[in-house]
Amino acid sequence: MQLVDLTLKHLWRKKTKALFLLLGIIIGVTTIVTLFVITTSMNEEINNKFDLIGSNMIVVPRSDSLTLSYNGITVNSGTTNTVELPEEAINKIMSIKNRENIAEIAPKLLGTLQTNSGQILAVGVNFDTEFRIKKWWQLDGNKPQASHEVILGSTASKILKKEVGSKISVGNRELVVTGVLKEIGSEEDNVLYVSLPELQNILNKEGKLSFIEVSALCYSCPIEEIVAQISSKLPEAKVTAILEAVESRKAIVDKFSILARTVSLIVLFIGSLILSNTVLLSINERNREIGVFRALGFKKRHIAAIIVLETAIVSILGSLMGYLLGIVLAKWLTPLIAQMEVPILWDWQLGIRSLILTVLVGVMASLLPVYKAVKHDPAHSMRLI
Amino acid sequence: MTLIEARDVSKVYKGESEVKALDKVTFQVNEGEFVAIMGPSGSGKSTLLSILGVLNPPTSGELIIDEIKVFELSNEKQADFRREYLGFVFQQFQLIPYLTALENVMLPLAVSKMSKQKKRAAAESVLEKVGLGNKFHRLPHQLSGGEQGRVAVARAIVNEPLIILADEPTGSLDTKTGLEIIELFRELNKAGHTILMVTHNTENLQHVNRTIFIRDGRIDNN
Repeated sequence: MQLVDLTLKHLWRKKTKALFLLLGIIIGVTTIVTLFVITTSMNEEINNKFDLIGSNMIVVPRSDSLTLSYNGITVNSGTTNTVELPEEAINKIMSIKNRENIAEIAPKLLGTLQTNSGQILAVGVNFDTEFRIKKWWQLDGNKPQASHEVILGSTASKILKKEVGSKISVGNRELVVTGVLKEIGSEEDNVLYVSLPELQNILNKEGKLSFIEVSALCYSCPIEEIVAQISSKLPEAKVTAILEAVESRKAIVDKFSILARTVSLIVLFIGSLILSNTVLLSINERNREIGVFRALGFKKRHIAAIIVLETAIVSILGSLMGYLLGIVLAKWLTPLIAQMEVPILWDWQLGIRSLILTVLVGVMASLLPVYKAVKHDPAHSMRLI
Repeated sequence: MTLIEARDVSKVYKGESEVKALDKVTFQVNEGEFVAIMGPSGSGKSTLLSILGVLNPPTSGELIIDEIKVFELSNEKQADFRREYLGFVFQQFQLIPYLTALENVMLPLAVSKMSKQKKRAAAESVLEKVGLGNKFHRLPHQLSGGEQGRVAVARAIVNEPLIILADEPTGSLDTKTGLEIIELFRELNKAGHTILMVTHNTENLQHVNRTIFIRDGRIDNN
């Protein structure tokens, strides 16, 4: 017979009460784990979505000359002394340490084209990448397939009086408009989009790029870190993070985190109150028994150990079961609530953290009952008086 | 040889009104004596037993057991003292309902450094001594009143104490079963245990060496 045997015997004898206590802990831990997992998955999902919305970094060549602006981003002018990036810059970007965080690389070449209908700003792009990162693009017509196929911004289409199927002559070449973008309300409305190799060919700038848009998935790393890594690989370029996008993402992520933390804190607070009250009631019922223990030579610390051990055992069991149930519930609920595709994994670190937290809360909640138990006069509790 | 000495022991309970439960009680108990403590309800006999059990410090006076001023010991040392020197048989026996007879008897050894096997052997030996060798694994509610009393006595002697303190051990038993428990005490007394027993039953007095009468917190006749 050891103290732990005594504790286990009591738990077994009072199994209904122990089960209710266990159930309370399981519900609390399940709520916190489910909330945490769902919130984390939502954060991740938001990050993924943000990364797909647009670029969050821009790589431009270093230059002292005057600049042109495209899509709110300043790039070098297409006039004299133009400085361009070599296409190898793409491979260099893909060789950074955090290359796995890079979601999309969209190289671009800018230039003015003299067409039979007037001068226009042309942007050479990779259409597949462009449509992936510009989710807001809506196209009348079709995405270009061949190198001579192009699309027009809505304003450019009106001014040049060109529609889907129209031809645009540039020098001795003929470009075919396969699609017209719906009005966006930005400078993109004024642009002619040509496939990158075609524009490089037209402008005699094979292997040259005006700038590169980079979209990075930065859930686990600061974007500044990726900027620094690209800068060190491309000393001839200037890498700028579009902080607005990063900041707004951070704000939303933070709001989700605050919500989850607040709810978790409330659950923790209420849970610890219920736990403390249950243990306190149990101690009041066991006054006489504790008196007997004291008379038989148990020290105050032995009494404290019995109570804390009992709470710790129930907390450990409740935490493990709550964690398992929490993950299962999150796996089941997340697709229903948030229509998300993020896979929910068995995170053993979360399991350990929830175990430590639950045992800590359990032990803290049993401090007041322990204090009352050891302060109680054993002579009085035995009704010897 | 004097084993227990109470010197001017007083106990005052302060509540809404002050109650003097014991008033300068002085007496001695020799080693090997079987002493009864008698008195009407509220006379202070149970208070005296709780002081003798080192559970309830007196308001004034001192208690010396085996030349140790027990209330000058720290709380921790008092617990050790109880475990080494005293065996308790409580009113209505106070067996722990969720422990078997054997486990109840092992209870005083739960916090000792003895090995599990030794604890078990000691508990089995005393249970056999009190005639319950075949009921080790019964829960208290599966035992008769007399058997519960025997388990309580076995629990009191498992750590081989010098002194056994009993609080109305026959109070909840019929005459025949009560007598069996008194017989058990007599055997233990013959084996060398000093016994102090609070009792209401005058029939028990014929089995003891001496009786201390208490009335209104004072010794009436020593």
